[in-house]
Amino acid sequence: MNGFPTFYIKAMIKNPIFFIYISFVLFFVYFIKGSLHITIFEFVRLFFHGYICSNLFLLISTAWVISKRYESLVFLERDVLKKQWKLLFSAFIISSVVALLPMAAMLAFKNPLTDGSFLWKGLVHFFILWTLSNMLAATIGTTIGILVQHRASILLSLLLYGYFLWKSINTTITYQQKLLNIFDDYMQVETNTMSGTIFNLNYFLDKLFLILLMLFLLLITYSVYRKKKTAYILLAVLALLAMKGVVIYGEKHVQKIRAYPTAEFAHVPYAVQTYKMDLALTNRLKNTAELEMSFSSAGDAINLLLDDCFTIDSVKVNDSPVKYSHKNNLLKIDVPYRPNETKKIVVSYEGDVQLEDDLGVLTYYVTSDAVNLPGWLFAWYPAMPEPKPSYYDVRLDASAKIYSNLGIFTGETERKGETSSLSLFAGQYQTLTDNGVTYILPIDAHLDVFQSSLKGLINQAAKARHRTLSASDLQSLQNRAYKTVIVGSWPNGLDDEGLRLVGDTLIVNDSNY
Amino acid sequence: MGNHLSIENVSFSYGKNVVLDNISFACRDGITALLGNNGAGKTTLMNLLTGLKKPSRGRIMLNGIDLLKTKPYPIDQVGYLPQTFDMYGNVTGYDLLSYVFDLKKIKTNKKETIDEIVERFHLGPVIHQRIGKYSGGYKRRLGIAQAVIGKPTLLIIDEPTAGLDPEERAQFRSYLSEISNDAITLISTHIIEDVELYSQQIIILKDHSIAFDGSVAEMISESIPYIRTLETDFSTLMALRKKVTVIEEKRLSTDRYKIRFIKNEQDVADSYQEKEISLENAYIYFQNR
Repeated sequence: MNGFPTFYIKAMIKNPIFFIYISFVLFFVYFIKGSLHITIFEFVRLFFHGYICSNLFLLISTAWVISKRYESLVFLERDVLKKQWKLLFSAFIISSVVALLPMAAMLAFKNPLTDGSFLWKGLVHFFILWTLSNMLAATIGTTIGILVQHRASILLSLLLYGYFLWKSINTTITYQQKLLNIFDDYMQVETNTMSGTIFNLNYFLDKLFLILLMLFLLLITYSVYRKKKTAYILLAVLALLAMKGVVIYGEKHVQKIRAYPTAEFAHVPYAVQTYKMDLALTNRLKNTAELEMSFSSAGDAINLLLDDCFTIDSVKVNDSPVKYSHKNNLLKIDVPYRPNETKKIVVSYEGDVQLEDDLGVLTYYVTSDAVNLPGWLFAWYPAMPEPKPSYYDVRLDASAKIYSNLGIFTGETERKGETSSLSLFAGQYQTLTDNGVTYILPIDAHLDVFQSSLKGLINQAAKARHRTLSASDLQSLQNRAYKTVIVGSWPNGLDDEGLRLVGDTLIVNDSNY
Repeated sequence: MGNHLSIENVSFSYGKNVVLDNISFACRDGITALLGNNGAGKTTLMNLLTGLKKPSRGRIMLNGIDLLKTKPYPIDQVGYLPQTFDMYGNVTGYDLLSYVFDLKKIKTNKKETIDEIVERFHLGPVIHQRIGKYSGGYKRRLGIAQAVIGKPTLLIIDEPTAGLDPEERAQFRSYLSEISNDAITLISTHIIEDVELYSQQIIILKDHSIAFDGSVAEMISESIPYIRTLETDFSTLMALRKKVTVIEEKRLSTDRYKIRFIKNEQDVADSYQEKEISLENAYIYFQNR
């Protein structure tokens, strides 16, 4: 078949190294297939030995094939750059076919609770990581092979690849470090089971960076072998600048969890009596929150927490638009109030929720199938720190099943009830019931193990000298006075025992149990 | 009508170093042998014909088409077998022929074309084996097979029988004779014996120019008047070596030698002109005249 690089595929795979490569891939699949019982994403994260093995095979074989300059092929092929593209195409085909082995294992041994959308996400995430790292290796191999035209090109290619490997396994997590990591960004940091990999802007910037890196290498060969050398050098410089641009743009758009300004809320003379929300969760959060507030003394402005990741469309007080400011996670509404007055405040806002903790792990997020919004920690709606119980009337539209301390939302649902904060969760969850308690746990959790861990956590909290849990909450936990347990995720260093009792719902931090 | 190749006023230099200086010759179907000492410019001329190098001036016309101006270079009309034909050892001969078929964009049925070539060059026993396992003879046959696939009008072959044993050389010569029936076959070689057996035209390159362009018979007949034969003793032979270019020595007995040398202005007593000389004698004459 014309155009299909059968010849080079055969030149690359008809040797013992290919069989060693396949054997290693199978061995690594077998070695970590147990991680598939956790999630597919855990398998993808731990499979980096397989990626390295595959990268090395393609790096060495492409460098070897292209560095061989047989006169008869030089005459027939004419253009060494076309040969480079043929080899890259061959590498892509080999990579794609071999990818079927781990992908088949992922399908065969996956956690049976894996939802269809997460299965596809896991497979696509694996294929992207596998293909991009393999193509980078092949690009390094062919580029060095073309430039050096000697067997030494294999060694030089290994050195250049080694640099990226070193950057990938380095534990320092800066944004640039993440971009230079050619495998899973969370290779060194364990993430939560519920979210899976999230295809957000950072994910695409990360992959764009690798594509630009490959383009840069290819343009170097073009600048050597094509007549318009200056033009290709300029394009290579542009590719480098674009890589730098990705770093700058990405760093600017990374949302980090910041401490909220709590000082402004000391002795405020107001409280939220009721919340009425019209909430939509897609890949972003859109909400119209209607707050009925009561005031015990006079003042000029109302302060409420609302994270900076949101953009406010309008703020109305008693149906009239008012002046407001929104910075440093503080929504300040310029409206005077008097004692014993009540006001209806409507805040319409929306935004992407992709907040990372200090380690660069995505912690608070909203996607079409994964949500993590612990309401007492993350101001995803206008609220006050440590709020008193309010009445909530929430109409929620989401494609995923949303678990909350007000109950479960499926599709377009309305839920009502009194609570001090509203927390929403979605993702790879399983629902189990035991002794009248509903447990909403990650799909890899075993109920008995979880219950034992929870008991340990409660005992630990009871013994702790400084704890955030109130004595009554602790008593409730010890008496098992909760009806629902949900595992969520929030930063581990908050010194909060990893437990939060909200009404009759106990929320447990994923990293604590 | 047949095919026609003409090299017209071709020159090539590496900087100030002239490699080919205003070369012109023409050839038709059949074997044309390109002879010349090392550094005479044979390889450069081959590279110009294969389009891998561009001449500083002149043109190369194949059947009225300027080879150097045709983009892309017509690899479907030109076959090339380099002196050292080597290939990835892990692919089979069939893989290679199939790839060359694709590269040349040949319109005929692929399997039939390759099968025919395999049969023609007796590659059947090895065609599905890895090239790394081929003997020198099979590798050379595969080399010529990849060159002739698609029936090119011009075949450029560098040292076709170098490294082959006598039996393989004889076989290879018969292949060349067969394929040159309907293709211009330009062969660069050092093996004069081969040239004598199959070439219809000889071109000798010397000092970056053409020293001879003609047939084997013409080359010999042009040389005969300048080559003398003498039977002499060792001391006379030693003295003669300082005066003339001795091109052949044959020891007849302990102190008797029959020598051939290129005649200069002064004739040597008792020397004579023979009716027949070898092509090698003629070649050396052209290189030394």
